[in-house]
Amino acid sequence: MHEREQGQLNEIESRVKDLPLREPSQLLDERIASMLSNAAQPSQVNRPSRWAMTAQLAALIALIAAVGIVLVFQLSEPSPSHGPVVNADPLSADGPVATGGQGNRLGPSMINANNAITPVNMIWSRDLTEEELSAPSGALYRAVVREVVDQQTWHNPETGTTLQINVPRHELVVISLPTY
Amino acid sequence: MNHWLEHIYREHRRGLFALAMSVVHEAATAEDAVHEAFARLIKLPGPPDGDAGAYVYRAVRNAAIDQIRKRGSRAEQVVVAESIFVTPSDEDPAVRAESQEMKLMLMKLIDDLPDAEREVIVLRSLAGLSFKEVADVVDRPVSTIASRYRKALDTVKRQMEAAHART
Repeated sequence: MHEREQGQLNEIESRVKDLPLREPSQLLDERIASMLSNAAQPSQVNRPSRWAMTAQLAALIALIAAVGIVLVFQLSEPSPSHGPVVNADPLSADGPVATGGQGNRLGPSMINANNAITPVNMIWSRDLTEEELSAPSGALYRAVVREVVDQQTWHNPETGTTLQINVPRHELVVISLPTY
Repeated sequence: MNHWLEHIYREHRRGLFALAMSVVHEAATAEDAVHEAFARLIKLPGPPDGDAGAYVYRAVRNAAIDQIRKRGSRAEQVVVAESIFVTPSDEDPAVRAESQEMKLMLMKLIDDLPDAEREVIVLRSLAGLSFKEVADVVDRPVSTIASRYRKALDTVKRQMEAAHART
């Protein structure tokens, strides 16, 4: 290649390097920071041995099956005004224990005072699609399909077991836009 | 645990975003691609062997391509391509300096390059990667990358000369 031609290409390359690149938004910075920060947290949880977790998981499955059988049996009978409450440690090898009292529609695994349960937290969301809609009245709306991941953490301080459930879902968000 | 990812994002956020933009042509989709790439990378136990930066760029590129595939599977929609550059605010053309005009022309020519050539320009000239790193990102031989790069600069040069000849 001629030196002159190479020199011209070098000059263009130099100009290109000086062009102002578009910056990502602050929102992206926050999303990445949040994700990296959340990812650091699970490493702080003390995990029991694999065999202990397997045994406890098997016990949990057996408990759920047992509760299912109990509920089917109760539904087939006339229910009293105050049905028994099934209150059990879901990680225990023992079956559910009826404690009596007022009717409670919560599942047995979520109401034992020994287990600390966190509220459902939305840990992640992103907007998939977005479009503007207009109603016959002329009102404008922005419709956003959002992908969300909910997380609930359930911890048994006695055994040190932590169960974390992530549930993805989609939601449609319709936002009214101002019209002038 | 993810300090290496934090460090890479801090150092290369503009380059990563520019790469995604050069693939998907839309800022919002490009940001989704960067986010998706990091969501995948976070699952790694630690930094990969070899060049971690090139690895991350490659992950962003793959995520951007996935975004295009997703876009294609939905109903037909018109995508208005956005520039990978910050365009200067509009001024009276009579007052705008010649250097500004040159910059705008250069930006436009690069935005209009074929995808494969623009991608190499973004990675080499704008993100500062070596030819070897660019080759790792796009999974092509170094000689192919060098050839594409030179062809891209040559295209830009000829179009600028043609534009000057017309004025």
